Amino acid sequence: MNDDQDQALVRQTLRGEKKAFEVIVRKYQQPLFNYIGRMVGEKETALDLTQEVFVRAFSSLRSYEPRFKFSTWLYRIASHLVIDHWRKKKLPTYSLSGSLDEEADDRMLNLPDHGPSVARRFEMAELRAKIEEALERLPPLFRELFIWRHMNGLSYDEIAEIKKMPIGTVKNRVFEAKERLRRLLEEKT
Amino acid sequence: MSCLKISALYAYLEGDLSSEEKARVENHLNACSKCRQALEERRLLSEAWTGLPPLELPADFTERVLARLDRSRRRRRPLRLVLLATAALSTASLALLFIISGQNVFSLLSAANKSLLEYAKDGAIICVKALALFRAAGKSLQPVRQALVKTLYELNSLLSPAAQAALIISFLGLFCLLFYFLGRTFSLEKKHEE
Repeated sequence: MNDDQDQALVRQTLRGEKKAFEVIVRKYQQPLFNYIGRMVGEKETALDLTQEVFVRAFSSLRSYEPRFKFSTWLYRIASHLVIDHWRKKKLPTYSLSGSLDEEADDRMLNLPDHGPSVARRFEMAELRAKIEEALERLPPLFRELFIWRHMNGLSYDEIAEIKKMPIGTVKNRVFEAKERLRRLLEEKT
Repeated sequence: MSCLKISALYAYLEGDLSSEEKARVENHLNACSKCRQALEERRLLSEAWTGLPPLELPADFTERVLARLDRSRRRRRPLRLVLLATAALSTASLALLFIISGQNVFSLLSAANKSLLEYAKDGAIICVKALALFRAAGKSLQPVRQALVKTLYELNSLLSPAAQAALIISFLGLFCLLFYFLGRTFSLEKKHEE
């Protein structure tokens, strides 16, 4: 289902067709829950926040600008809710201008020529379980961008639109997230 | 020969390189086992994390969302009614105050305008003219107004205080219903129309 169909569903919802919003909920509930669940870690909180995304989207549907993609608008609402949740729980939040490893892009390979790699040491299912554990230890900003890119399958353009960041910065941070995750996996094993 | 940057390996895996850059990376990979090993490592990891299973949603999640939407819509309605009822009550109270005190609204407005004249002469001339027009209109409607006031006084003497209260509450209720149905009728947003 493409964005034109999303826009049509939005218009139908605004005309009072309740069924149209149900289609939106069914389409986006799983990707939003995958994102929020991995960001907050607690299932019940994640369920509550995912519901809240739809409630907020519904109540502010008239303020949605059709020139933007509907999915990116939903993810932006979700991202704000996750940050609000951390603020309320007094958990450390993250700044979009937070310091990054600026040298990462220039880092050259410095790997041993022998010894099994992290990826080869485990069966795929076991490796995925370890990735889930390592994700929880990834700093939130990196985790968010990584999830959007590699689990929700958003394009770099879409992520840049959601976070209102330059696309180059998004690419660098996703790359940094992947390397941090790989290093976390190496540390654990 | 220097090894490839890690970012180049990821860009290669994502197909995010120009044809020239891609050829350069492939040339290097053919000659460098260390970079081939590093690329393979990242390819396996990419496969693993892009294939992570979805988190399990309760089967009735959609219904829960729709029920919550209904609840939040119901919660918003009383607030709107309270605001409308307050506005209607204020208007009705003001009208009753004028009727009971026997004051003429236009003479009061005119008096206020006179004091305004002392502070802002130029601007007040326009207001006075407008008020004169209103007063003329008021005078022509005076018989109607007097008949209305007389009827209200007669009703006041005929009806018990409880019946009067019931009448006022009924009017306020009608007022609220009128706003509610008007709100529903004109709730569509034009910019989303095709």
